[in-house]
Amino acid sequence: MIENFTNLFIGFGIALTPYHIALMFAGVAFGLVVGVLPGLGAPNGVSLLLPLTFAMDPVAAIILLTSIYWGALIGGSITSILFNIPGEPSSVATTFDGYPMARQGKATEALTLAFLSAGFAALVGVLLVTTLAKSVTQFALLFSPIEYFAVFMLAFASFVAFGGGSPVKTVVSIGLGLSFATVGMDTISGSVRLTYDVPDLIKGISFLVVVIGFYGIGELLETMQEPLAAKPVATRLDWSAMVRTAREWPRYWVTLIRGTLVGCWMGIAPGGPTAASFMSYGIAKRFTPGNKPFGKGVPEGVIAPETADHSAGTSAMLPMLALGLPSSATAAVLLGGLMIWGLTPGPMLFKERPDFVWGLIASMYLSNVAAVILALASVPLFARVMSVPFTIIGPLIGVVCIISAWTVSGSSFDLLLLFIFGILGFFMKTLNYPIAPMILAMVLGDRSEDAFRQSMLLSQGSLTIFFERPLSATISILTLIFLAMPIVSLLRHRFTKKAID
Amino acid sequence: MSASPQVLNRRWAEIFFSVITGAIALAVIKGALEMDVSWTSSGPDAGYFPFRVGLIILAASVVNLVQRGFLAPAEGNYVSRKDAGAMALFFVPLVGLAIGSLWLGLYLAIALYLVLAIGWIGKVVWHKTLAIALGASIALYVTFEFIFRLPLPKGPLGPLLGVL
Repeated sequence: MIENFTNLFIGFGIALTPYHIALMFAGVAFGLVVGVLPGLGAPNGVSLLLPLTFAMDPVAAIILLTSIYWGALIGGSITSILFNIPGEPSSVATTFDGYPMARQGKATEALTLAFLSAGFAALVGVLLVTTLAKSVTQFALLFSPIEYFAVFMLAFASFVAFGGGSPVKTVVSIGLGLSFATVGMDTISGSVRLTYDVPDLIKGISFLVVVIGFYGIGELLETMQEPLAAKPVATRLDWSAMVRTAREWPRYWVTLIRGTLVGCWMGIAPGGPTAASFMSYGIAKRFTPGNKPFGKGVPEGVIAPETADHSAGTSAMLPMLALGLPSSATAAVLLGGLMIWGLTPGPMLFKERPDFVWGLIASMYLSNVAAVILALASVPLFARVMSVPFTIIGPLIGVVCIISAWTVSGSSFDLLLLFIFGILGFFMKTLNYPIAPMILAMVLGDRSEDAFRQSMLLSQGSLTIFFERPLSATISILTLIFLAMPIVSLLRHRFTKKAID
Repeated sequence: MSASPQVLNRRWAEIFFSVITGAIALAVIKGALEMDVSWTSSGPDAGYFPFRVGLIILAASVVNLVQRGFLAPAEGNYVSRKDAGAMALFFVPLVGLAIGSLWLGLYLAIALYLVLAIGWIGKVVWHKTLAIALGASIALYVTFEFIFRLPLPKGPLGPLLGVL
C-alpha cells in the first residue's frame, strides 16, 4: 500500500515533464475531436495514431494514447447529450436522459453533471489502480499457462453472457478474431500456416489493419447508409447554471458512488465500459427512490452511466498491465501497442519497467483532470465541429484510414486487407455481430493458443487439467456458468411462453 | 424508412453473411488440415488450435444460418438502392486513392482524391474544396515528414520535394 504510493510519486516525477504534459493535452484535445466526430471513437482514434508511436519512447507513447482514450470518452458524452448521437458505444446510455435534458434547455446542467461525474469516477478508478497494483501483480504471479488460458476463456465467455447481442454471433466474432491471429508464423513450431500460398500473409495479419478497417472504413460505410441528421440543441453555455449545477452535484452522492463501484468492478473483471454504463443505468433506474421519470431527463440518468463508463475505462488499465487482459476494445488496441513497443504485459512489467507502469498511472490522474477542463472550455467549439457537413469530414477520415494502414508496415498489401476488413466490418456492424470481442480475440489470439498448447502438453491432451488446480477450476467453472447463461435464459423463455399458452 | 427499392433485405443479408463466415471457417479448417491437427513428439501441432476454432465458427455459422434465415427470419430493410449508391460513391474513390497512391505517392493522390470526393461528389464549392485538399495534403506532409519523421511514399513529387 505505502509502496504503491511511493511508486506513484516516482511516477509523477516521470509524468510531470513539459514534454509529457504537452502530450497529455494534445492527446486529450485530439481525443475530444475524435469522440465528437461521427464515425470515429476511442478505438479508432487510438489505433489511427498507434503506428505513429512506433518511433516514440514507450512512456511518451502510452501517455499520448491513453490521453486520447480519456478525451474520446468525454467527447462521446458531449455528442450524446447535445445531439443524441453517442460518439462511443459506452455513451449510448448517456443519451437516455442527457438528450431529453438538453431538449428541455438544460444542456449546460447535463454537460456539467456528465463532466464532473466522469472526472470523479475516472479519478476513483485510477486511485483503485494505484492501491491494488501491488496485490494484483502478486496475484498474477500465481498464474501458470493453465490459469492464463482459463482467464482468457472467462473474458470471452463474459462477452457471450453479458455482451447484450446474440450469443451465437458473439461466438462467431471471437472465432474470427482467433483465426485471424493464427495466420502466418506459428510461434511454437515455427511453421507457416493459413497463408494459402500468399507470401504477404507469412508475416501475419496486423490487428491494427483489422481495427482500422472495422472501425474506420466499416463505420464510414455504415454512416453513409444513414446520413446523420444532427439536430443540435442550443449550445450556449450558461456559466451561472454551470456553477449552480456544480454546487448541487454532491447531492447525488448515492448514484455517484454506486455508478463508480459498478464501473470499477466491470473494468477489473472483464466487462468493459459499455456493459458497465448500461448496468449502472439499469441499477439507478431500479433503485433511485421517488419513482423518477427515467428517460425523460433525470440527472441521475446522466450521472449513473457516466460514472460507470469512466471508472471502468480507467480501472481497465489494471488487468491490462498486470495480466495482459484488456476489458475494452480500446484497451485491447493499447495492449497491442504495448507488444509492438516490445513490452510484455504481466507481473514482470511492474518489476522491469516501473517507469512505464507508474508514469502511466500518474499521467492518468493528470490527463483525466485535463480532459474535464478542456471539455468544459471547448463545448461551444465542438458544437461547431459537429456542424461541418459529412461530405467534407467523410473523405478526410477516409484519408486518415489509408495513411494509418500504410504506416503500419509500409506495405500495399495492407491496403487491400484494409478494404476487405472494411466490408467485413460493415456487415458485422449492421448485422449486430459484436466487434469488441473480435478485436480482443485477435490481440489475445497468440497468447491464448500458446497457453492452451502448453496446458495440453502438461496434461497430455486432457481438458480436465483446467479443473484440477483450485484457481483455474474456479475460473473455469465461472466460464461454464457464463456460457450456460444464454442457454438457460432461452430455455426459461420457452418454458414461460408455453406456460402462458 | 426509405422509399428506395431494396438491393438486399435483412433476411438475405443474414443468410449471405452466415455463408461468408461459414466459408471463412472452412478455409481455416482447410488451412489447419494442411498442418498437423493432432499430436507430434513436441505436443499439439500448428494445426491443432486453428482446426478447433474453425469447427466452432462453422457450427455457430450454421446455427445463425438456420435461425436467422429460416426458423426466425430477420425482417426489414437492409441496404436500399440509394444506400448502395452512397456507399459505392464513398468506397470506390477511396479504393482509387489506394491504387493511385502506388504511382502518384500518397500526398499527390490524397490531394486529387479530396478534390474528387469533396468537390465533385460532395458538391462543395470549388475554392473551399481546393483549400481543404491543399491544406490537408500540406498539413499531412509537414506532420509526417517533419514532426513524426516517418517518410511516406512521394511518387513523382519525391525528387521535386527533395530539391526544396
